[in-house]
Amino acid sequence: MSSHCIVQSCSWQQRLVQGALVLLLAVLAHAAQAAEELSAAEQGRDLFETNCMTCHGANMVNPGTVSYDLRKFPADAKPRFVNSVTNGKGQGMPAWRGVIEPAEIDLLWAYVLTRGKL
Amino acid sequence: MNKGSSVQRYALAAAFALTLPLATVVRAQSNAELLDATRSPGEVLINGMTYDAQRFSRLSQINRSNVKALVPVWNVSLNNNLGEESQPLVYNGAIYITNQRATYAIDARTGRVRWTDVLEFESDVARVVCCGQVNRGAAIYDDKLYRGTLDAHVMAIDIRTGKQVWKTKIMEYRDGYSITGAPLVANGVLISGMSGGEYGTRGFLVGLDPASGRELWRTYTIPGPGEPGNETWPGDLWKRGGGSTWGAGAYDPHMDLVYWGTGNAGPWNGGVRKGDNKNAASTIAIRPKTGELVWAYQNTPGDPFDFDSISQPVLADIQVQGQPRKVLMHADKNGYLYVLDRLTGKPIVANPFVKVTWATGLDENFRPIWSDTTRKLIDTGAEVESWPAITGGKNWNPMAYNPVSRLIYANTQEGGMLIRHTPVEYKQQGARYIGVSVKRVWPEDGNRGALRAIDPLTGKTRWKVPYAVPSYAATMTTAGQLVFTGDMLGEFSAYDAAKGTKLWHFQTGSGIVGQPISWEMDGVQYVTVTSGLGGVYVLNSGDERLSNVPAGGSLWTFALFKK
Repeated sequence: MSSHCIVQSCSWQQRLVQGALVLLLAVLAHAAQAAEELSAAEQGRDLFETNCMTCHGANMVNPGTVSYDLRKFPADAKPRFVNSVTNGKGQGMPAWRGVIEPAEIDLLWAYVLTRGKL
Repeated sequence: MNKGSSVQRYALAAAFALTLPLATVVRAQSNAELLDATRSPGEVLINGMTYDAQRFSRLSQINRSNVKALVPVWNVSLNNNLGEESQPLVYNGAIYITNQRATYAIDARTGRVRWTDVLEFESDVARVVCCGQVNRGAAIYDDKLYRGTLDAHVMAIDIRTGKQVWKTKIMEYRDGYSITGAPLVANGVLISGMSGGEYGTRGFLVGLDPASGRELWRTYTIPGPGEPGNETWPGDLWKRGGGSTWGAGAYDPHMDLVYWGTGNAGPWNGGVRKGDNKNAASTIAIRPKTGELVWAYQNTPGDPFDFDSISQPVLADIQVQGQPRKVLMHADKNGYLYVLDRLTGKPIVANPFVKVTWATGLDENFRPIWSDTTRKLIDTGAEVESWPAITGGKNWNPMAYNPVSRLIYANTQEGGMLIRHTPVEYKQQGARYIGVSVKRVWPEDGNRGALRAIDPLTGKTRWKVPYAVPSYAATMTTAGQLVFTGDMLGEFSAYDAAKGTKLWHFQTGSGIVGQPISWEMDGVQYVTVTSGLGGVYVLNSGDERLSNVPAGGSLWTFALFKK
């Protein structure tokens, strides 16, 4: 059975299939939007696991002695976070300018705000 | 160094002066002295303490009956918060020590700094350092100290003045290469390894002229097209197949062979590079003058678990079934302790020394037999539980061998992991190239490590002292039948080599992840070790019990209390 038909000539079965498809698309679009809403922190987590976890620990858990404990980063200090990632800080933190783009630093910041409990 | 050995040295220098040009006379540290290190236990000239890397001191003034009287003589800050994994060297009244930021010469008697050479780096260097911004040691030869740098250079420093003599770029650090391991001078050639097995690099050893820093040869661990073993790699994956050389080597001057371990195959995801992937995760022997690869023994074919074979090989002449054998001993991250014939590279025995589930055993050719879980991971990428974890049954931290007790002393790491494959894409040189996700599984008894005395021929543990927080420090053993090592919480300890009883301990102020040594001056035996938490475990194990162990590097020296 084909689902291609113009409205007037459609059988009830074809209309049912069309309706189901419209519903399915709506559900998928909603799901995609939901994923997008979650994705800043989630994408940030992926970036963190690729670039940062080796020194800052899985789920940001580390003792905070040899490397910084990001769970303690003040939530109102995003400019300082952006500066540290971009330009490096102290003995241990390298500069990521040119490797992690500013938009990706925003994603990392979204993940840092979860305190690793994503 | 005692007075007798000084006199001998001057006599030797005088004899040389009669026969050789002046340029040779001023050579303060010669091939002969390196070869004599075993017989002159007062000084420590080589990473591993002697060419055989046994980390066995022939000194016995400090022994089981008096070690309780060991006290600090001096301590000096190393002005570094990122970890002290280096082994001190002792030569002519000075101690030389390295970390990632500087090289120091310290007066052995007083602990005062004689000179410091501080390194300068670009601000992005640490991006390509996977597991701790550290340095694991230096070599000295011909009045110069040689060391690697995080930005993939090898440099020479005049040991009297601290002035830089030469600095040679080995690779471009932005492409994922760095140097953390100790170099080795063998048969007049300076040999260095490199790090970067997580960044799509291709491992190699490089031989340099110690006088000028000129490159003499470069031997890749992963064979190129037309070389034996290249066919064990799919497509062009050999170009970025890992097999880095981030540990330390050993040398047999009679066979004129240098031994080195090679690191994990890359990427970690073994599903995308099916095959043996030679010569990653292997032990190799090379000719120091030419870099010729003489033999390679692969500990973990097709390395599925980041099983570097880089912990320092230990050479010994031992009895095997009543026959004297010249062997190489190596405790691999894969959990097996290997005893190889060091002339041929053929295995003699290999036994597990920690819990192993990734293999069910070794076949008649000593090839690991993959367990069902390993096969499932490689075939499907689905999550499996596997032991040991990616940190291995024993990580980089060197072990010691005592020829009197005939036991190996090693800090082992205990634990497993849940591991699954994730998509892996090679984006660019210097970018992380991994393709696995790992969650740690810890032993039920809560002990994540142990100091073990192991019989090399059976792999059986003779005695063990468990650690809740595992130790990543080297061990050192002495003719006083003691074993010295430190732990992550900062305690430096001495144990009875025969029984494992803890006989002495001292809190050093930060965690110990370094390599202790023993030496002698004016008839007094000293023990020296770095303190300074750092390295892979504290950074990414998530062990918050270390929250109250401050960072901060320093060097401690101990001797028996003078009444």
